[in-house]
Amino acid sequence: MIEVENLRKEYGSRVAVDGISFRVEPGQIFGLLGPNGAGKTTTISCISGLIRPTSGTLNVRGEDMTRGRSEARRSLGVVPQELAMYMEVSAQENLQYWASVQGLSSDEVKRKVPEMLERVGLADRAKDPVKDFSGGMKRRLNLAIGLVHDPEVVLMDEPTVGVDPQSRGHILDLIKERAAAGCAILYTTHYMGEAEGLCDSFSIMDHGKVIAEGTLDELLSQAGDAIQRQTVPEPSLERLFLHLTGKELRE
Amino acid sequence: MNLRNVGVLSRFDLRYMLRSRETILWMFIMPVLFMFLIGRMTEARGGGGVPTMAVQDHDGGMLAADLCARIESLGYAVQRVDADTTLAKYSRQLTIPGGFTSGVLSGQPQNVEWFRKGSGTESGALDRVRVQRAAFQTLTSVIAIQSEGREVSPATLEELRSRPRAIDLEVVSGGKAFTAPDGFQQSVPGILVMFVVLVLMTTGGVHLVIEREEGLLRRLASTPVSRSEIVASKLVARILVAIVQATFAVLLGTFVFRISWGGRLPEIGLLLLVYGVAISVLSILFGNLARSRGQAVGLGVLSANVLGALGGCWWPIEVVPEMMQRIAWMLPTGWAMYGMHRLMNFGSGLESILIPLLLLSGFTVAVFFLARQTFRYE
Repeated sequence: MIEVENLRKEYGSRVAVDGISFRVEPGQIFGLLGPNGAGKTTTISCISGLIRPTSGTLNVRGEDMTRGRSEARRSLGVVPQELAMYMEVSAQENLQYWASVQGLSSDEVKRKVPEMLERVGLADRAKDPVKDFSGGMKRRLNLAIGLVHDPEVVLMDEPTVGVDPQSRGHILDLIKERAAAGCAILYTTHYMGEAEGLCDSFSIMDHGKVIAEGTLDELLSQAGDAIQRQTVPEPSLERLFLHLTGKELRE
Repeated sequence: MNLRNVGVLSRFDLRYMLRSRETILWMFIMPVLFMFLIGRMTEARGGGGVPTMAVQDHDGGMLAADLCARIESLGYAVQRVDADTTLAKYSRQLTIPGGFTSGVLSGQPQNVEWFRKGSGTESGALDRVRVQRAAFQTLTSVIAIQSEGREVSPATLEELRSRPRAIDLEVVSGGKAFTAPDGFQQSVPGILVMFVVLVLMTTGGVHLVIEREEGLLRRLASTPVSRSEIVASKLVARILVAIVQATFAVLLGTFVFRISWGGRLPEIGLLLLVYGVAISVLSILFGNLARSRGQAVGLGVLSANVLGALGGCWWPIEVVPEMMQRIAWMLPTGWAMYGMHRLMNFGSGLESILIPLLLLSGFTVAVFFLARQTFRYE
């Protein structure tokens, strides 16, 4: 569903993404992990069409995403890290607008928008301006905008940043539900516990390169004694992450 | 280009811009205030409507009445006043002394006092000539009636006033009179043209910056909508804002300020449409170049004022020095105001705005190219 092959992105002499490859199948939640500046957001931006890669191939549903506006974009949903929505208008108007932009007909918009508002628990606040919402409500609406057109492929860039446990649980349930329905999901987060419970397989990036990949068990076994020795009482993805990427602070 | 996408984006953009209180203030409230204030201020220059001559008539006789009638026939509205304090409120004042009629008929010199605030101006000098002319006409009437052996009376004076002239001097101008418009005739089109810049630069520019800062354009980049469709939709929304604003100003000018559009509303509509497109494209370029909301607002207000002042929106460009008129010819506001004045005040037709239309179209194409090139999602 998503195929990334030797993706490279350079900004002048700086290499943001250095020849990474991975594949996300339908129904899979793929965790793309890494510290700040590792190249995760650049990778997502390349797949979503925001920036052009320097080299490599990017296929979504078999279509080359580097060649302008492909039809595959209709089946692509993006949930960005920032709250990309119109704050002065209501949740309902935001969803209607983004659903229309994604190509849904007016009948589909009328059907899908109330369903999605109900699903993310915003039906009773549908007509309120988004600026009056809490952080968790805005995050749920941000997610709803990315999913309102029932995309087959979803790119999620830290969709649970700064939300309360209730909203986080709600968002993660919805993501699992979508994956169960056959959606291919590329997921980035800094919450290792969250990724551990949600993702089927992972790529861990640092300095633009993939430094480890596989399922959680595969990754832990690859790390071997190095992670086992530090693990009290048991190994976890977070400990593995810190072992691989180091403990120094990143910009 | 998918027109459906352009329609969806531009409709939302328009609604979003018109929802803002600042936009409503600058589109519908501030222009009225500016049109009124600038119109009133420039009207005091001497133009607009029939000038009033306040007359304090201490005589009350038939020759005083004849003098007033002569003044009226020269294009003034005569306002009779009783007290000096009332008289002092008027800029054109005439005092007819007591015993004026009997004094004239008995051949004694009479002093009629004329006062004009700003008598040193061109229009002050014209007033002086006209008052003198009215006085000579009254005296000539007395001589003419007496030479016919008739008695000078209100009836004979009236009969003489209505008698066809023995000699008529027909004056034909060598060309069209290019009197610079003033009052509301200047302020309504001037503020319209300037506020289209102000609203589109601030609202149109700022909304683009907000969309970029809040990641809305980045989100759009991942949708099936192309870059050309996004730029086109932003342009359409801003053109619609300009149309709404121009329509409002035209209605205001017609029904509130009662100005004359010179019978050229279709041509004025065409000129304003082409002008609105040019400024809409410029506002997108501003939105692309601005790095922050504050910068977009600052640049918008600054550019609107500079373009407005230099383009002839604040005062008629016809009254400024030649060098300033040349500068106006380099600006879209100057092209629009030139065309508006030609159509509204100088009796010209479509042919007189072909050059402004051509210049505005060329400007639009050049700036659209730059706007498309500089458009960025982040």
